[in-house]
Amino acid sequence: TAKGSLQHSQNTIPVRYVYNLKSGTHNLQVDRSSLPMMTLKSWTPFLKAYPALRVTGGDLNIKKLSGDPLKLLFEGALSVDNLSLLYDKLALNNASVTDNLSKQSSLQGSVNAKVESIELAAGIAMTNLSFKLEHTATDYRFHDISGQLLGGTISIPRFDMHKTSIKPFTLLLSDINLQSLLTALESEKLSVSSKFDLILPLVIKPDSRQIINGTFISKKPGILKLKSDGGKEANIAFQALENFHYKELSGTIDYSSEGDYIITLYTLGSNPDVYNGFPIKLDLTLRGNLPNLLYSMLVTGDMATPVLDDLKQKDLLKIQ
Amino acid sequence: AALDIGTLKDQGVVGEMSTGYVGIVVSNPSAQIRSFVQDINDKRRTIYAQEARKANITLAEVEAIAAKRNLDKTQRGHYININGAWRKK
Amino acid sequence: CTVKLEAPDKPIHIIGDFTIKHEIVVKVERELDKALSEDSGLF
Repeated sequence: TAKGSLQHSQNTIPVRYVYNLKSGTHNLQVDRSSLPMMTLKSWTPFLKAYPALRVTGGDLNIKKLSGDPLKLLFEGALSVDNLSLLYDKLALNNASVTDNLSKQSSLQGSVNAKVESIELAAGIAMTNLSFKLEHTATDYRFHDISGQLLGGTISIPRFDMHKTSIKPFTLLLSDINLQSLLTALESEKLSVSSKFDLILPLVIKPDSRQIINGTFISKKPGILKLKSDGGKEANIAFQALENFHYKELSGTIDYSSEGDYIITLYTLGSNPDVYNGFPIKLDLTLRGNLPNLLYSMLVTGDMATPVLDDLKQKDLLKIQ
Repeated sequence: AALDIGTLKDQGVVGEMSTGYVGIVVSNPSAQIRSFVQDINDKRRTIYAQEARKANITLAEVEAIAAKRNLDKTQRGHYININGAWRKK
Repeated sequence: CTVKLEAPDKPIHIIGDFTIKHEIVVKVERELDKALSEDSGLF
């Protein structure tokens, strides 16, 4: 048995190391100690996989920990307080996390977490988030993710990752005030007044983000205003949408990995200045291309792709 | 004397291409003119690439927008190149 | 875009399929006007 302490960038961790000659087993025992999360970047596989992810705060507290350091089979309890992470303009603030480790498989544990806020690049934030996570060294099974967003609630029942690849998952948004999103995106042309429920099945890959068969619906009446440049000669549908008072508004959203979107819109209502207010049923399909819209909203903030790899002229730009 | 694009256009030495870049109209341009045009086009390409990055579209899309803009804005009497042939606007 | 006038009491049914050219083109043109302005020496 060796007793002593582990020096880890000015932090001393009381350690007891038992090597059993007969059984050839190793056991590392760490007693109560804590150290700043920042110093742990290279240890945690998850953080190491995202070099651009910066740990900007937080303390790891080890209540008790023991196990085989070679096979990474540990049991014990860890907790992290006021953890803050930053990835470009996507910021996670003040999370408190507990992780109960078990020896069943390497780095296996079950996590409970609360996060004060996740600020998205587009200037909107998810607040009072909580989630659970079962993890091993390579697989992360998040569940019961929920929080507040845009005046409503966001929930993700299941979210699985294998190493760094994200499995398709569904985003459920309810009572969402879309107008605050439109304001955050500085949209001068579109405004919509009622609250919406959205179901967004997402497929996220390293270089592409897709929405497949997303749906949105507002059961409450509201007013949609879409300023189109056409004015009087604008298409009748766009004239109607200049000031459309609707009873209910629903539709679908699809967004391809190349940035092509197709939005279908179904609504019943009227526009006092069109057909002098006679009821109108609108069945519209809107198509367009906004590459990397989701990524720029979540991570970069501006409408530019952060990773310039698809811009072949990267060296021409001489951007380090 | 320092070369100036406005003067070269007035003299019909250079003109706007449908690629968004400057082209040389005269048949045997001096080395100085060739490197001047090359420099102008490099600077334009850097601007186009930055606009593409900011607007989240491809460089080719910005070049197409620039080409249309440059041809529209070319003064009467200056040269523009349409389908490979120079002609005065 | 087709407009169907069903019975008078029924709403007017407007069906449309539109491709939207985003203001990005307009914005880029404005940016290029600035970048390739008179005193830029590039136009």
